[in-house]
Amino acid sequence: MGITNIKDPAFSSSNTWALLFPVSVIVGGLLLLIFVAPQSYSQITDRIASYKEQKVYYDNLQKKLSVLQSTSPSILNQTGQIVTILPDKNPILSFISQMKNLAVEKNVVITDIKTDTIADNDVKVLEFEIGVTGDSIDSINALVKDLYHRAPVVTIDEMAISDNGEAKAGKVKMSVYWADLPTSLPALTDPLPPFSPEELKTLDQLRAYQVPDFSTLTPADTLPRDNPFN
Amino acid sequence: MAEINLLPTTDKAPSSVTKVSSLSKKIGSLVSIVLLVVLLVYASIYAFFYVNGSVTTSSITSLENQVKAQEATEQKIVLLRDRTSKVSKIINSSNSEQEMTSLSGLLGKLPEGVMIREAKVEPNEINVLVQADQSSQITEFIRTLTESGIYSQIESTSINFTGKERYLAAFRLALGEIQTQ
Repeated sequence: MGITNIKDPAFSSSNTWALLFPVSVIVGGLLLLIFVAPQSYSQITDRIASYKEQKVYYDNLQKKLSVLQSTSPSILNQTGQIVTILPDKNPILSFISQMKNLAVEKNVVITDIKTDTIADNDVKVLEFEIGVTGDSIDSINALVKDLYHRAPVVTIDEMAISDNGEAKAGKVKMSVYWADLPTSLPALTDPLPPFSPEELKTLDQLRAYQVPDFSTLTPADTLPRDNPFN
Repeated sequence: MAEINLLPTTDKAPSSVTKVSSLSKKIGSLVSIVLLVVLLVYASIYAFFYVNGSVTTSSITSLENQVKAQEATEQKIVLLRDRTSKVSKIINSSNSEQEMTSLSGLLGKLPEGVMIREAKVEPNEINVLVQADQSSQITEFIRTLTESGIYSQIESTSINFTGKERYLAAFRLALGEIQTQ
């Protein structure tokens, strides 16, 4: 009955105005909640996701910087030695030089050097064979054993020595290795983990390797000539 | 002070309209408060992450510059890590280093009168041919091998006696820990 009175022309105008404000607030509020809230929510979740990403990146950078600052200079100074141990080019010549120096020390003569095969993988391998003669089996064995701790890195695949009374001779099959240097640095965003205990152990082991002593030739001073055309 | 309604009673809104109006007002106020609260919460969350995000961005830029300044150190670390992993694979691959060392040890402990005539060293295996004047020296050699404790297997592959070279005995030795019971 009361509702029908709203339609009464005498009261309809004032009653409609009385209801208009609260109803428009409700409708406006609901419209805002329905259309604006999801967009705001997605903006906030995007902002949180980007914040988290930034945080991970920030943490990675911090860890990277800490590793860069805390790595011992004694480890960093090993780069020269380690590149001599595993060079980027075929090291056969420097290896032969090392071997011949050692052979003189051990009183062993290298009689023959024959290269065999080259395997071209991530780490390149040159297999070769040498002939040796010496005073005793012990000296030949000592020569070969000592090569293990000299740069460039070498592995002995097989050794056969015979002693026929006077002559002590043998044949040794071995391999020398080289590998390309890394060509790029990891991306700024990539983490840089510190050296693992295994890596530090290997580095420590390699520190004992004897590197070839390459002499540097200095240019000789020019001497004055009496006759410049002679 | 008491409120006095001066409007004619005929102008008074029906009670049902007043009820609907007051209910709408309440709902309107409630929706407004909820909206305001939601808006405030959204705004504060957004502002929090916006401010923190901008702080992190400036810190990241500073850290990036510091990392870039240490590029030489990073190069060395990358090089060392690359070489270490490769060298480690090489030195841990199958090779005869241990066998060489054991042959060295054996050469230093040869019993008197025993001579190694031939030795062949391969990964995991050593073959030796020894010469002796008496059989007891061969026995002594075998005792030396067994007592060294470094061979997991000692196999006598042949034994010959000739008037000229006397006793010639061949052995195949395999390295490894001897299992004790």
